[in-house]
Amino acid sequence: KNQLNVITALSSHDPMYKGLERFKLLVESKTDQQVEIRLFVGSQLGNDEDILEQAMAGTNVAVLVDGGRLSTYQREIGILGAPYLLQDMSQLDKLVESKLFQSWADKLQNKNHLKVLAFNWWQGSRHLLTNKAIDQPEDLAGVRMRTVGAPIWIESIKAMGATPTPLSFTEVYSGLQQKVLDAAEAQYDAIYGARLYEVTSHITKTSHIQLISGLVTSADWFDSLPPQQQSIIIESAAIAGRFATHIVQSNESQIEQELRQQGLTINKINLAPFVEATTSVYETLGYSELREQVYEVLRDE
Amino acid sequence: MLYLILFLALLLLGMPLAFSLLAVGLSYFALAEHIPVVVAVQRIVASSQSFPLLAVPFFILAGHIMNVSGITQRLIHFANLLVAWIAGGLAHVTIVLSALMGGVSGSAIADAAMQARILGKPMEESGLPKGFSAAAICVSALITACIPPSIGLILYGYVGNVSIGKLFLAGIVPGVLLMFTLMLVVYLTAKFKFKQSQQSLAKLPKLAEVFSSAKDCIWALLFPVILIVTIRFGIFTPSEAGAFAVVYACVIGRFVYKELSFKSLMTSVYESVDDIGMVMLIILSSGVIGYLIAYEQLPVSMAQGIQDISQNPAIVLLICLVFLLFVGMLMEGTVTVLLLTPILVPVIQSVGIDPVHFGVLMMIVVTFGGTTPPVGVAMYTVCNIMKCPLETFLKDAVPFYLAVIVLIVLLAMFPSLVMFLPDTLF
Amino acid sequence: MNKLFNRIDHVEKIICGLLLIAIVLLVFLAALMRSFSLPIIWSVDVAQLLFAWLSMIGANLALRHSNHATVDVIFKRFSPSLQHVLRLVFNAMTLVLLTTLFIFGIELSLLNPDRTLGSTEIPYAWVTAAIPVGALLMTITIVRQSSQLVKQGSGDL
Ligand code: NA
Ligand code: NA
Repeated sequence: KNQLNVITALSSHDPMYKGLERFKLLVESKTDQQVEIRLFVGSQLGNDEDILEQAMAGTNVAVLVDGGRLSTYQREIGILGAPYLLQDMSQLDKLVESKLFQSWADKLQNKNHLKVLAFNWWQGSRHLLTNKAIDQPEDLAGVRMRTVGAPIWIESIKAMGATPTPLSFTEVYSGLQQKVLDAAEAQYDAIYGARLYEVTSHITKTSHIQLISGLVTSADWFDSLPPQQQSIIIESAAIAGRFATHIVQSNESQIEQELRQQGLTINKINLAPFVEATTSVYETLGYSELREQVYEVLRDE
Repeated sequence: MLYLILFLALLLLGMPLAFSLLAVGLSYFALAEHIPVVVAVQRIVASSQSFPLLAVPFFILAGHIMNVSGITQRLIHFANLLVAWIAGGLAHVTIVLSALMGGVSGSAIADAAMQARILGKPMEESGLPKGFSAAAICVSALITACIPPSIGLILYGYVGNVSIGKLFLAGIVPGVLLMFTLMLVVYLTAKFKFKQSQQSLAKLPKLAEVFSSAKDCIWALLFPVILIVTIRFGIFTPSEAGAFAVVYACVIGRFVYKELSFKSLMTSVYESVDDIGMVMLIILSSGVIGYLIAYEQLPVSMAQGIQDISQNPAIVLLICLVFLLFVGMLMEGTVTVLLLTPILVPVIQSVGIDPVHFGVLMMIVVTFGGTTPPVGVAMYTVCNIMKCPLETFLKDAVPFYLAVIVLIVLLAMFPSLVMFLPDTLF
Repeated sequence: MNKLFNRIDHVEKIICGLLLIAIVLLVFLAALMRSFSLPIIWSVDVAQLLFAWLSMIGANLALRHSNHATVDVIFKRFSPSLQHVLRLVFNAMTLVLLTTLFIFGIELSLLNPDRTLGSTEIPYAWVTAAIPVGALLMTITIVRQSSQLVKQGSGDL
């Protein structure tokens, strides 16, 4: 009997966790309980980086990670986290099912022994959380904004005009409360789940980054499975990803309403200045050419 | 279970704690089918890569610097003036000193050892029985563990993902209550059992003397206040506050008391390095055990087991505390916190107990275990330094033990005693 | 030989002292700078890197000075010769543990060369390498202590 341990830093209330539960249900029922999936919340077996490393070493673990984080190992995948890359979710499906994406995943598998099961887990659009109104990039000057400690995030926040301050997500609430931070950026579910509305007053809907994640496991472990189980796992990961994405989408308006009730001001702004400000990020990180390739894939029918 | 037996066997036969943990952890990884041994090494590395954990070396160093910079001596002088005149004399001094020192020092054992060296002799010479003196020094170390900063609370917050700032605030009232409870025990014992002659006691201090002494050590007395304020208002996170404590102790020792030399600073750095190496090897090794505990889903089965017995928060809390008391008697405090926090916090949270409240109780109970047989590290340290036979110590320690247990029960029954400060200030 | 070891001990002590002071300053200055809105992104990462090294070299110092926490209630009651044998057995077991850490520590340092430390460009392997190096240092310490134990033992008999 085979066992896969899925570890996440997310809480069990997060839509992604609902997706993981669906993944567990699908795999276990379709393989007649021949593959057991165990879910661990709160990074019990290590943080995301540690789990990736364990997977490289051949441990039977999987983790949900975003493209930005994977870019340290496979540079191209990092473009998924670049600012204003995709317009909508249909483009995401098209991209991750393309040959282009497959070639990135193959590189990751050959070089780092990591297997991408599915990369269609959309966690939401990242928005700005501040204590003052933001209308344009200039308003962010000198604002210490928490972000993820990966190049694409740091460069994007910098390009938008704020001072990027990498901090673990668990410290964001106390950081904002104690004024160690002035601002944060996050998707709706995270804002709501971590009760960040208690310590900030404004949300600016910049949608600067789409938080796109994939379920990644050990290639060595995956290759040791019979082909039939392999295809069930891949298929289930994609279905579960779509399921999780769907929950995020359908939650959006309801969370927005709740956040307003909590006294938050939610601003819809003109995105053009932000799009323009962040264009430089592609150049800084050497993604200009790759972006053209992505656009080509998205144009193709 | 087999691993637990292996661990206890190695530990009780006298293998150093850190290596006993490693032996168990590594054999688990070597035997597990899908987990390569490199993962064990990764867990060791990962245990060192935590920002909150940096507070441990900081507060160890700050404690050592206090001892060579004139801060400790001034606190002793102050405590002497304040309480040496009460029946029980110097026994009150060690208790009050623990509370005062507790404001900068994070380690109960280090303070107990220091006080046994400095106050042990004078206490006996003042006519207090040896066992009673040792017991007062040893059990009062509990206060140091409660009053912020506390390395135990830092570790609890780090492992259990609980706000360290809140834990610090929550420790204050129990620490002060402990102080008064133990003083009461000393007073009653001295009054009715020893009938210590009034001449051997210090005179009632003049108010002016107390004020001038307080002024003299104002910087040390203010430190816990400064610490809490800086954490609360976001100037420092708890680990940064540790670095601040080191700088603070240096500045006071060098520029206010003018007693800290470069040489004595380096001596305290080197002494701290030894302590840090010892504590950190235990922490790193228990990272391997942490993986084992999580992988085997022990917290889940443990929670299930306890909930099968009862769903009532009070009973669950009682079970957890009795269990901790038992383990605390067998194992060193830091290890107990590191190993059991990830198991117990989900359990108590599942029945609605505040992890901050539980953390303070856990800290008291576990540190308390260090003052009792069979494996009380603080107890052995103090008895060794004072050359006090265990039997003599135990005979006089019993009233202290009883008082502490009564206080623990009170704190458990009335959460607001613990939660009042963090709830109002955070 | 003893002279050499004393010198090594001294050098390790100084290294650890410097590491500890550096960590204090890194964290303190970072906090200070941040309150002036000038966060230093890498300071905490570097402090943690140094901390891994401080822990492992410090662990060796504590080992050399017999400073590791031990429960000796039962051990103390054993006869001196049994204590002697037990010490040697524990040392042998510890050697196995340390060798394991050394070998797999090197394997881990080489496993994942792309991983970087936090938000810096520093390879994470610099952190990982503290484990095999520390294990090696401790191995030397244990071997030396064991050879002294054996000498002592044959002297007693
Ligand atoms: Na004391
Ligand atoms: Na303390």
